[in-house]
Amino acid sequence: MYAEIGHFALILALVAAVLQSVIPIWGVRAENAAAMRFADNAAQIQFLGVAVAFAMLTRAYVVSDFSLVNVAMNSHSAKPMLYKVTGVWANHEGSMLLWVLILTLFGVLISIFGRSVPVTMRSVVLAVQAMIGVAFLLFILLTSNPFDRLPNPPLDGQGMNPLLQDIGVALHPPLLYLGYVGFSTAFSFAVAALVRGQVDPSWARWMRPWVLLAWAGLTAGIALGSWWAYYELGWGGFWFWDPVENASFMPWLLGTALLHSAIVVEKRASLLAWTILLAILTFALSLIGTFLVRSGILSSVHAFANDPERGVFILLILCIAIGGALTLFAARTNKLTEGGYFAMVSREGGLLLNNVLLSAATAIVFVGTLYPLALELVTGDKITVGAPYFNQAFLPVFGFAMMFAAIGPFLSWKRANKTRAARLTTLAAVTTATLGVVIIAIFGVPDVVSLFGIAVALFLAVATLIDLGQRIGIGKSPFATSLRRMVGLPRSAWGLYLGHLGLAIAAAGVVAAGLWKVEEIQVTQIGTPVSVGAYEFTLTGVESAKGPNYQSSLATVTVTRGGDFVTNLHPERRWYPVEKKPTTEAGIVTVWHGDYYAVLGDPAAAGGFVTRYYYNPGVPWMWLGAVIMTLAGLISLADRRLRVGVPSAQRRLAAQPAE
Amino acid sequence: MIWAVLSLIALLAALWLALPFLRKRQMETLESDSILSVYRDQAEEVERDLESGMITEAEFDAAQAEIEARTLKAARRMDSGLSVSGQMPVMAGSIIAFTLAAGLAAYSQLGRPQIPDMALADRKEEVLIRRAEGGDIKSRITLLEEATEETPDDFDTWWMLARSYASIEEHAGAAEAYKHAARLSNDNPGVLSAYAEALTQANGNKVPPAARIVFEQVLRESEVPDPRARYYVALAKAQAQDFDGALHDWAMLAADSKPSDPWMGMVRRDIVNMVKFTEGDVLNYLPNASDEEIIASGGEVKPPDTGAMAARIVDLQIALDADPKNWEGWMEMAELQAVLGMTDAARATIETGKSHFEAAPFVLQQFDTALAILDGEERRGPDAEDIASAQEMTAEEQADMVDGMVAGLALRLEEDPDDVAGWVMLIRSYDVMGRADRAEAAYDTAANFFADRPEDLRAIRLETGYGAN
Repeated sequence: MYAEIGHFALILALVAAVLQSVIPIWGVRAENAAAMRFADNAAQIQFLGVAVAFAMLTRAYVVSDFSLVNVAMNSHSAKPMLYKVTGVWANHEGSMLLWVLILTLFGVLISIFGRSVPVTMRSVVLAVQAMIGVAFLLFILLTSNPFDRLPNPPLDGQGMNPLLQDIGVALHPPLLYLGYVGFSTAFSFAVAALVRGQVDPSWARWMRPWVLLAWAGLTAGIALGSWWAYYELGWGGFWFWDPVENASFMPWLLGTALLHSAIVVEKRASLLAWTILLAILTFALSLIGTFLVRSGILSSVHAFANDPERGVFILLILCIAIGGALTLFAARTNKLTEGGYFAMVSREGGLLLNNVLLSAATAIVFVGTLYPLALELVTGDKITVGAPYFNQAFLPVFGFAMMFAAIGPFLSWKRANKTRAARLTTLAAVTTATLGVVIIAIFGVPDVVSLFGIAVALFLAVATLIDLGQRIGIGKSPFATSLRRMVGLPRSAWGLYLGHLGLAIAAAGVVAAGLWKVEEIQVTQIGTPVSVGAYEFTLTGVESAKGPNYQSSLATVTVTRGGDFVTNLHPERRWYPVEKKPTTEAGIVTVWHGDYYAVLGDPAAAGGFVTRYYYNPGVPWMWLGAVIMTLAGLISLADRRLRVGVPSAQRRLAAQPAE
Repeated sequence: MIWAVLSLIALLAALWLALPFLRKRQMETLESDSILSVYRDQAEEVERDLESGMITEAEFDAAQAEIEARTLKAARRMDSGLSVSGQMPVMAGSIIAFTLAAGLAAYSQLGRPQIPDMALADRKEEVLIRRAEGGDIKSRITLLEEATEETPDDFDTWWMLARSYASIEEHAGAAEAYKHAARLSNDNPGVLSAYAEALTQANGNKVPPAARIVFEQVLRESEVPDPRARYYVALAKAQAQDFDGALHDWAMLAADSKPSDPWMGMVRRDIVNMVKFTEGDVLNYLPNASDEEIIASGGEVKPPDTGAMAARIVDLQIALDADPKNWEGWMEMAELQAVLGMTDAARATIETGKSHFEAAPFVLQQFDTALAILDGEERRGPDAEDIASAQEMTAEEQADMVDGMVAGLALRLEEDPDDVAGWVMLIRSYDVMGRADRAEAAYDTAANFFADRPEDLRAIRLETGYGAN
């Protein structure tokens, strides 16, 4: 009965969503308070319904109820409990349910924490959210129902792709969806603003926390996915410009632009059209990402669905949502009155440039991702747009965006003090050049692209620190005052500094990994050392072991440097008998400057093992940078002024540390 | 039941949805307050910046003016600021009705209320049965264990349980189950003997006193002495240092058994080992011991006596001249000649033998095989493969092969009985195989067919020695 209750709860969520997408709109037109309030209650029921459905599906996985087709196809009784639970969303139906769960979670959060958003705005936002909910609930119930039943269940399930049996990938979809789906709130706010024909600073302020939350989730989700690919796929790389990776990267790029653009709306009532459009397009890219992954157009670990019916359904949702929103945008955009004018050289000007550069970068990724698909559809030719295209087209544009991210904070709103900005920029440039020379002196002269990369990352870090120093008056005021000011900085300021520093660190990691990575692939005999850069890797033994649902060959690789012991790596090769699939678990030891990385391959015919050894410098920096950026988003989210309960925030003020 | 639960859930959800329309009176302030709060915060921030010295007095004034201007502009745009509504029972009722109707209707289309939850833990019985059907002994044992709890007085269940345990060498479990089976069978000697065997195996193959008592009881009570009991009583004697007693018993058991009896391998092995231990002569206990067994028992195999072999060849020559239809005789002679190095003579013997069996394909085949071995030996000597294939074939397998060939001949004669040589071959084959009954039956059939051809019938009688009386 539990399974059927879950199914019924999902249907009730759909019923609530249908009502929620109609009644509040009528309420706003008729100025009926109850009908507007209805949006809150409906959002709560919608969430509750999906949550109950999700809980019941999870229960079915936990107790191995193979009378659910979804469980029988994707679980196995011998699977460890953790992966029974994460298995819920490691398949098409479950992951779509998670998608809707997060969508409705945002809805219920808006209904509870969005009390400061006036009910006229909130009810329209929730109505738009509900329309998305209706579309996806219909999609689940009609094409991807996880509650389909089997009257005669099999004895055991078919297991899940063992590549996905991993804690990194278990958390990757929920966080990624937090981002993807979180941008639906931005979309809903944008559509609500267009419907009501009103965009003003308060609108941007109401929207910003949701965008921040989505952006932080997406940042963490992308990083986790990349981290998983890095240690689980055992290719030694972390980013492959794979279409599925790009599908999550595009909303991130535009979402970053949206985040910055919304600041301009809030502070200066400018860039309204830009912001609305970015909100619509960011969500559009999230939907395109969902479409690419779910339609089976792309074949990869992610594409569990290759049912064309599902692809067509999502395409339909995409067309209606984006087409409708853009039509609305075209019809209403002339009603938006842009606020304060600004000089080209100003904070607004910088952020406008940021919008342009990030949009261009997104377009480059978009073309590189979709062009091969379009070409295959039209001519049937299969081409691969590989890393060279992205490196040549994307990196320069993104590099410029990072350079302006360094200079932007030096500019003040409306009209910047050009002398001051130039002085600080020069200071940053000179410092960067000095440090750059030191680095070249130590490590030698790299190629031009890497040189540019190092310069940009260094410049962003230096400029960010200089701006922080200026802001707290280092050198001008006593140190204690500066320190007090630093502690008292608004959290949104910390968001800026940490976000930009995190980006600089991650970029430095990417450049270092590309420049100084050492890779050795060979057949190794036990006991024979292989030199990897400055290190020697020696395979010292391979043992057989047994996991809960796999057999494993566990190797020990000893890393030495000039004969001195550095560390032991334990790469593993697992065999999952139920799924009849092998997986690779790279042996990784992380130190501050990089990763020692070993992969155990198949035993070679002539004895010994195929092994791949890497020294990956900078890789930990990348993860660190991503973590810092995520934290920056969350800290910014905690900023008092963004806290959505403005009236009650007056009370909380007393508890805050004095600024 | 399930419909009641679902209806209740739907009703609760519907009530919560309808709640805003059931409230007596509510009022909503429109945006004014929240829009102004944005500007209020901006003004506060500018003041803070001034206090902390981040902006100058002039910048502060400019910012203040800007914020005030925007506040005024926003305030102008603001409308009434309030929206009011009262209780709306019709709306509330419609929402409740829609939720219940749409929810339950959609579920009746999509749901499968008749299928219960089937968690794996609740399907234990089914899982066991299906695994047992798939040949999983452990599941079968679990099921049988459960069955013995339900029907503790059913002999068959205990018996099958014991056999299942024995098949996976869980001897203690088997002994326990056999004990119940023996009780339920009123101490049937066969069951008792199996029980005592399981006890012995559970004891690491040492016959415990209790098992020996049971075996002796079985021997006393059964009419035909139970070979298993005889074997284990002998084993018990051996384990009690009574080696002569044990050897004597085993030898008797071997003499009373057919070579093909399943326990013979074990008995012969134990005799050989025991003889080796007591340094006796294995031929005293196993008159037909093979050379390998003699060597294993520590005895010596006599070297081939060439004189005797030559004498045998002469005897065979005389016998075969008188009766050339003895193919084993031809083969034996060729073999002896080959052993004595007279390869050409051996080949000639086989060719002569073949000439007497032109109508008997399987005999010809035997000759050809012998010839091939002979040629092979001459050409390259026996290689590992020959030895392996020769060793692979047990006496039993060889007998089977000949059986098959004879059966083929019998079939052919049934279809085409007009073949004197064929009948001779068949009757002689049966005779050689020790199947005198079959040989006689075959002669009778042939006699029937050749009743009007006395010459042919006489030839058959002379060639085979059957039908003389």
